[in-house]
Amino acid sequence: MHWLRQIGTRRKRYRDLQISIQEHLEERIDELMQEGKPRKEAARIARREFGNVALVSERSREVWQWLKLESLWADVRLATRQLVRSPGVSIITVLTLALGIGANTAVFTLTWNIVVAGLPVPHPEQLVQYTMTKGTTVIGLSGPEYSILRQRQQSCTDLLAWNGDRVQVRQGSDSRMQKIQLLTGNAFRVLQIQPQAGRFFDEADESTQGVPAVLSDEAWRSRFHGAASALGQTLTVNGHAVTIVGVMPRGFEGLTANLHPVLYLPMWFGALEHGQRYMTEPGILDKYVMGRLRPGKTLHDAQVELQAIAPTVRKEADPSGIYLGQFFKDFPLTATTGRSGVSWVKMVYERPLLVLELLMAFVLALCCVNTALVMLARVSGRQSEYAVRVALGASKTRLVRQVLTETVLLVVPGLLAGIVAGWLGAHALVAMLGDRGTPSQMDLRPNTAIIVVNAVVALLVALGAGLWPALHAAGANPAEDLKAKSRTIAAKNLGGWAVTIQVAVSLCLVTTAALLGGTLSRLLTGQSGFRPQNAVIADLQLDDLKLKPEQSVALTSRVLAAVRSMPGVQAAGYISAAPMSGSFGASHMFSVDRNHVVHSNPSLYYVQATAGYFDAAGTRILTGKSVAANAGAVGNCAVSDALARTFFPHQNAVGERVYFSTMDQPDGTNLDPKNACRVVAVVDDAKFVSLRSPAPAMLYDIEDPAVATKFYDPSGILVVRGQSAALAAEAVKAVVRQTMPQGAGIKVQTLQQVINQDLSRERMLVSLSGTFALLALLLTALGLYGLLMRGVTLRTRELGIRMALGAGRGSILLDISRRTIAEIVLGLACGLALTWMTQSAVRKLLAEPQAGIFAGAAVSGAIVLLIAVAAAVVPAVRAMRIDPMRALRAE
Amino acid sequence: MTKSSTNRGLFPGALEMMILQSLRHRPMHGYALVRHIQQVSGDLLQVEEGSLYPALQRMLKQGWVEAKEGISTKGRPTRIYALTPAGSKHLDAEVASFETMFAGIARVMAGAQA
Repeated sequence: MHWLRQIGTRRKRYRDLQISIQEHLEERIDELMQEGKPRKEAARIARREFGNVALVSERSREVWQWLKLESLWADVRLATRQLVRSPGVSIITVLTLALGIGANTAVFTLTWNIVVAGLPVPHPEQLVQYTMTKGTTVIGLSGPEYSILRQRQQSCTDLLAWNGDRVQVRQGSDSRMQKIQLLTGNAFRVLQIQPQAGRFFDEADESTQGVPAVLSDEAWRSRFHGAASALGQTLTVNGHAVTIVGVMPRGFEGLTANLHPVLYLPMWFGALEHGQRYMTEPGILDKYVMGRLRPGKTLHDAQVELQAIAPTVRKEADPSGIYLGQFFKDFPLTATTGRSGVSWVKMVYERPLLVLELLMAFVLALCCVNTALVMLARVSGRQSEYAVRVALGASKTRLVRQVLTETVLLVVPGLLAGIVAGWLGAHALVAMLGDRGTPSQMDLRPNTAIIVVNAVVALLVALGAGLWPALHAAGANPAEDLKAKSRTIAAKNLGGWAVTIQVAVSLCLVTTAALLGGTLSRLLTGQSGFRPQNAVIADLQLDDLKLKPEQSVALTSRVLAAVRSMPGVQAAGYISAAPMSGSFGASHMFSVDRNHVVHSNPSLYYVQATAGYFDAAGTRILTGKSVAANAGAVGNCAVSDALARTFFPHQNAVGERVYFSTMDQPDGTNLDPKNACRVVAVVDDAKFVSLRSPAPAMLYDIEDPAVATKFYDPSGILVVRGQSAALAAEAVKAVVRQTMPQGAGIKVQTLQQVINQDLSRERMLVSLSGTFALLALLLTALGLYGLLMRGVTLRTRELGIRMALGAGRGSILLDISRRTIAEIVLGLACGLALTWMTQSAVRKLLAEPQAGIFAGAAVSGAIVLLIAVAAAVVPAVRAMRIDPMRALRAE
Repeated sequence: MTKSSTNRGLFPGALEMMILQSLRHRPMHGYALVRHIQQVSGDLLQVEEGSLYPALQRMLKQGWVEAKEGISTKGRPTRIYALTPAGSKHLDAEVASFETMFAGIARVMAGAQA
């Protein structure tokens, strides 16, 4: 407790010291007076001999202090006083920082969760994923492909395979549709995870009775309240009994991101479900494969090895060559990092998020510059204070520290507010991602990485913003500054090149926002093959009703007839897959044209539609008149324009046949009319997968629930066009209330809402980059305004003198703004270069075609200039209105 | 403002040693200490106030000296610094090591001259 006593006696020590020094001086004065000096002179000599009393006292007192801590505390107190003295500026600065840091937190939280964070398994970076990929379309491997690849490859210790499914899970009397994941027996060893209860299944389970199942942590907690008694219980999955043997570790949510399967079953359950061919059929390409790299091997090694063995694997896995050599020949085997598993959200949002991170860096730089400007203005206003401190013996590092402390005091509340704002922002962003791929279930728990990254960013901002003004303050020259004659020079040097940076970054952000906005509006207004106005899509959710197939057919038939007869409804029809859902169903079909040439397309989109669908969705019928189902042996179908042109080049497609490829037989060999449909119409190309993907080649199998063929598969996705979207939605809801059984769910969306969801990525980019651009313009305007205003205030006296001597207002205006104009022009030039670099990066990331930036940059430049001029008006007017008489008297 | 610094060339601890030695002679206040050292050294050494007071505070903190309230010859309140037993012990140790060092230096200097 020695140090405690020291604090207690410190006051006494200081007083002792003061008395000692006082007496020291008095003694010397007495001595000098005895030598005959008058008291006044004696006192002067004594003081001069003693030196700087304040400094000596300070140095002596320091012995009793924890120097670093206490001087820091003094700095903090002084800084707080300074900040409180100008609350407006302080609050604006804190808000600016909060916005910048908040946006950064939000974007980074998403980036972290979607892009960076790996699967919750040890060393996810060692995982390699094997898929068949063509552009952005990813499909899995077949059973034979998996087992042959597993034998042949040497880069990984072992390969696992998995697959997802939606099944009916019954527990007692409770029965519902649930997502499950099938895993090979070696999966848990490859992933290196441990069950949190019970055990996992492995290859040995295949030879024993019963199907083992592993519960997800979520299901274990919600359905079994986390009780150990869950182990050994039996569930029924699509009619097959399975026994719970273990529980997945907490946080593990499957190998497909955001899928949240309830149950994990062994892969061979697929054979029970789909027949013995499930694992051996070369045409079932639905298994995702993942391996863990051997120590010392890299992803690149795995890729090189795959390149080498892929031809052999493809040949051995499909000796006939129909699937891997013909249908899917354009889908090469690819090895990519498996750290995140298969993540659709990552695939869609990874690049946009990187774009946002890039823009974010600019915004943070702006916040930095703006805070620096505020600090600089404060520092330059206190030049004489610093001069006095230096004269009293303050060291330069002390001044630097003082200014940095002030900056940190601004940054810390900004950081705290920013993290809170960012938190809310991240959730808002997740909502913006749209509900496809269920990212709304995304886990956004705060984690150390996010907080640390933000704190580091904030510190960098503080350092970046504080260092420049701090050095400026440290440059205080007591002799010159105390004379306070160099205000004009001070005013002219104010701000360094801040305006240049602000203008350049603003130009870049505004142009980028304009580019992204342009992309969105092109997608929204471009040819889509749909007419979204006045149309709604209703999902009748038949799955949940547990109807027999014939009941479903009858129900859909009744609903369609009833909706058609509703007032205000112009057209209605079913479609088997929801438009613009982002997913793509590839089917294999071929045609034989009049020259007996076989045209084959392994990846056309096959859907079933009822006759009214085209009018309802607004997809134009180009040729062919009556689109109706044919209950006869050969069904009717409509083909998209693109398909008609490739399947029947230089001839009318209407009346021709399209054949379904049959298993194990190459296209063109089996021309069985039972496996064919007759083209009755050619319809407009529609961007059926997504507005941002090209329109796929499509075949619409025309069905009618009233005259159902055995192929008809009721989907319950009903498209209705009415006099207005609201009327159409009302009609559907009314019919559902009347005709559907109790408890039936229904989801009605306007076609426009579906489109908005489809473009959620673009909309997120536009709204965020737009916000960034606005923020940049605001910061530039504020910075410019503050800088000019300060300059005018500092130079009031000088300008007053010049006006008194006859300087015209025009020349004053020119003089005031000359430097600023130069900075803005330079800023625009630098901004152009910056924009060019940013745009190339953004276009590359978003796979947009490269294009000139000058048109966009010219418009954005005009906007930035306009804002700059607007910000300069008030200070300029003030400069011109200076009254010479008053200005001269003011000093 | 610049003042000729005569103790610049002193080794670390020399000032403390001289102060302690002076206080062993008799307790005194700050100015008297300066005068004493100046006189005893025959004006060869002049203690700078800028060094004296921080040094005194350091020694107070170490417990080598103590400050007592006192009255100066002119009746003004002052603080008299006095040696403590701990300070006395420290001084003895310092003097011993100083003498060893001094003897060493003297030999080297003698050797260099030979």
